[in-house]
Order: sequence, then C-alpha cells, then structure tokens
Amino acid sequence: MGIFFDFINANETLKYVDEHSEKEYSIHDLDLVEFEDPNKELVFAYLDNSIQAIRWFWSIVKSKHVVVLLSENLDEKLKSTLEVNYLPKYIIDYKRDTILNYEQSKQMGCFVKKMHNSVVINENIKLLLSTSGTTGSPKFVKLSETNILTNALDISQYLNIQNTDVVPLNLPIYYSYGLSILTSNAVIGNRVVCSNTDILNRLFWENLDRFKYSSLAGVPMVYEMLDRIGFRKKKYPSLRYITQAGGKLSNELILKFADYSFENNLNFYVMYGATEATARMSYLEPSQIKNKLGSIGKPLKSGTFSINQENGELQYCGPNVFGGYVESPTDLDSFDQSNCLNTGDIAQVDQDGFYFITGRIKRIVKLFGLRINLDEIEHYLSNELHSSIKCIGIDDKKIGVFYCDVDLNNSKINEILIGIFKLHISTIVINRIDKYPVTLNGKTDYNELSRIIK
Amino acid sequence: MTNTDKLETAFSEALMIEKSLIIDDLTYQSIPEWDSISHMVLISELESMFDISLDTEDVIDMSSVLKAKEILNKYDILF
Repeated sequence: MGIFFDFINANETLKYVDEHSEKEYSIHDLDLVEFEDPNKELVFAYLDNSIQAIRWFWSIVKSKHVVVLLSENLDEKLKSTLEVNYLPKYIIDYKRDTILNYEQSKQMGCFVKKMHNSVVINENIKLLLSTSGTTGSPKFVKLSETNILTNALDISQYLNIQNTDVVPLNLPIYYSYGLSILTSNAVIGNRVVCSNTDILNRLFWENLDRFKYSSLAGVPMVYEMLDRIGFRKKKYPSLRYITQAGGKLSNELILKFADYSFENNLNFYVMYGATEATARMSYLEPSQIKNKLGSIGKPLKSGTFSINQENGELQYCGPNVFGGYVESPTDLDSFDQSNCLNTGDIAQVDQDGFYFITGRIKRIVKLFGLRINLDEIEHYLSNELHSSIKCIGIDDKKIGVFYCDVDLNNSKINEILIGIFKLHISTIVINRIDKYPVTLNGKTDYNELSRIIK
Repeated sequence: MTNTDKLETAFSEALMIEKSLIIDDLTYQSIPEWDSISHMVLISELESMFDISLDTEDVIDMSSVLKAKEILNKYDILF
C-alpha cells in the first residue's frame, strides 16, 4: 500500500453509492480484489463509472501494480493493438468474453496472461492515462501516487470540498478530469455516487434530487447541453458549486452560468489542466469570473506558472507534473521527476497575476473535452489508406481532413474516423485538394489549409 | 418525404445507423451510437427537418423513437 491509498483509507466517512441500488459501501465493504505477485505488473482496466469499476480501481491502487485506465468502449482492434504492445499481466474488461493468450480467472473476475514474462517498471509509476481518451493511442502519461495525491489535495482545498459533500461521477474516470473528481472527493468528501447516467438522462436529475448532489462537472460540451436543456431555468438547492474544464468554454456561456451562479449562491469554477499535470494546473476564483472573463485564473497552491520569453509558451511546475510519456514498454523503467511541464499553450498574464490562454503551439484539437492529437490521426489515416493525409483542428469544434489521392474518397476516411476513432460525423470536414500547400522551409502549411476551410 | 421518412432520416444521420434499426423501441444509450453527443445532433436535425424549435424539456424527454414521435405530435407533426 502506498501513500495515496493510505490517505483514501483514512477518510472513514467516505461512502461509495451505487446509483441503482442506492446501497452504500465503505472502502472496506467494497471487498477489494487481492493481487498476489512478487513483482510490479501492468493492469489494463477498461472501466466505466459503475460501483464495480470503482472497486477495481481501488483494488489496483491498493496493490503494488500499475493501473492503466482505459475506456471500455474502445474499438476491439485498438484494445488488442495496445495489449499486444504492452502485454499487461491482468486485463479487466466486461465487454469481452475471451482474449487471445489470456485466461479468465473466475476467482479474481478478470483476465490473466498465460505467458510468463515481465517488464521492468519504475517504482514511482502508479497510473497510466491515455493522452487522448478515444484514439487508443499507445502513448500514455506516467503518474505517481504523489502526483495523484498532491493534485487531489490541492483540488479539494480550492473547491472547499466538505466532509458532507455528495458528488456524482458524471465524467468518465479514464479521463483525467473525471478521475480528479473521484480522487479529490475521496480524500475528504462524504458520498461518491458511482454513476454512468449522463445529464441528458432524466434519471440524472432525479438522482440529483434523491442524493442531493453538491456539485456537477462538465467539459464545454456539457455546458452547451446544460444550456440547451434549460438548466438555468431551475433551482437546485443542494448544489454548492459547479466546475468546468477540458477546453475553453465560450465567454458567452461563462457569463450565462456566472450570472446564474451569482443569483443562486453557487460557486462556478472555470479551470485549466492537462493529463500531464495529473489533472489540474489552475482555476479562476469564482468571485473573479466576470472581472477576469476568459482567464484560466491562477495556479494551484502547490504549483507555479511562468511564460517562456522566446515563444510565449506557458510552463507549469508543481508536484503533480507527470514522470514522462510511455510509448512502448521500454519506457516503463524510468520516471522523470523534473516537475515542470511545457503546456503547449501560449499565454499572457495581466497585472493582477491572472493568466489567459491566447494560442496553442501543439497540434491538438479538443473535441468534446477529449484531446485529439492531429499528428497521430494523420499518421494512422496515411498508414491505413496508403496515401498522405493531412489534418487540422477547426476552432476546437471539428477536425478538417485533406487528401490529394484521386483514388480515395470521403467515405473511406469517414469510415476510419467514425469506426475506429469514434468521432461523430458532424465533427468531420473532408476536402480533396490537388496538392498540399508548403511553407518556405518545405513543411506542410497548416495555416493555409485552415484558410481553405474558411 | 413523409413525416416518417423525415424522422428516420434525422435519426439515421444523427446516430449514423441504418434506417432499418430505427424502431419505436430504440432508446437513448441502448446502443453506443446514441450517446449524448449524437443526441444533441439529433435534436438539431429534427428541428431543421421539421422547422420547429423544441422546448428544453423535450430534449431530455426524447428518450426513445416512440417518445420522439409523441413529442413531435405536440408540434402538430403526425405519424
């Protein structure tokens, strides 16, 4: 047992609630699964937010093993590519009955690898999170128990989480923001409602009344949905605060929800983070939300921001910064403790110390709060279609895809983006052009491609 | 196009599924294709297809194909 689990174990008031049966479980009632291995191993956990999933999560956290959190809805082809690549000793996946080279352990309730071979895993690694939730990329972020614990404590402090709070897990736990809801409430909170019911379900709103939710969390898309379903027309006496992260919410919606929260005595937190920082890096104090409209606020208690003078890039330093990426099993033997992260975002700071994001250096697009690496998509499409494909992001709303090959067509590209990457067709814009524009130094001119779309 | 054709087209485009799968019993989140994101697309497809503006309550109440028809009835769209 490590430092993080000890902390969770010590919060004796915490109960995990099954949203369907309404049964409550303490960490001891969850009857955690015991692992008996001499060495540290990888555990692939394809989990949703059910009570069973939470039981698995804490079981692996308690063990000496590394929990690799993944979406249970990943395409099977992507799942098996990842598994062949990393050969985890254990796989937890309720969506499959059999897995090649694995056998079902009836006693444990998961898949166990038949072969005996082990990888060297650095003692600091506790959790691997995917850099993007849906693309099944083999690239993971290495996180330690210290990373998770310090971030959870910082978050619980600024959100002022109380030992009477009831929180629904209304974002997936394989997503760093969703996981942070679980961890920050587990250190101090009172009830965590394990739920797969989203806000477009009437049951969610009935549960809000029944369990008296203290808070809600959402990526920008969730706030757009809340706006559309008339959230602001009603009152929710149990709600104390709402949080937003996972990309920039439009100023128009920030103002709408800020007004609502002032009128209803709610705290509305606009926040900023990255999986590489476990989850959170900064938040905007609710009282400043209109004064400093669009700001990502100030860094967490344990963190600091600085801006690179040369390119304007925002750098964050703190104990929650990850230990590097894993792209193949050989990367598991190290854990870099430099504690500083180049965010890839370009920022400015005002005279009062509030930070504002003004641009982005990295080629990523955030669709529905999930980060999509455009270079990865390009690479995958080009490989599968045997032809050079280029991708751009369009205002964090859509992905633009370009091809030149006359033998290709839109439907082949759509098939992959929808079938494998689970993108919605309404977020894909495909163009065929005669040849790709290039910059003076011979690289693809992505700015020019963006202009073609507009 | 009949109203049933329009409804099926809106569903099949928003959920990216075959029209043959669109039966009254099909419910929200019963298939991976009908998630929160495609639900929001569905709402705007229905609004533009029938040239209506759906009430906020209807967005959540539209939890099955049958429910969608019942709700559209309120807007004088009959099946």
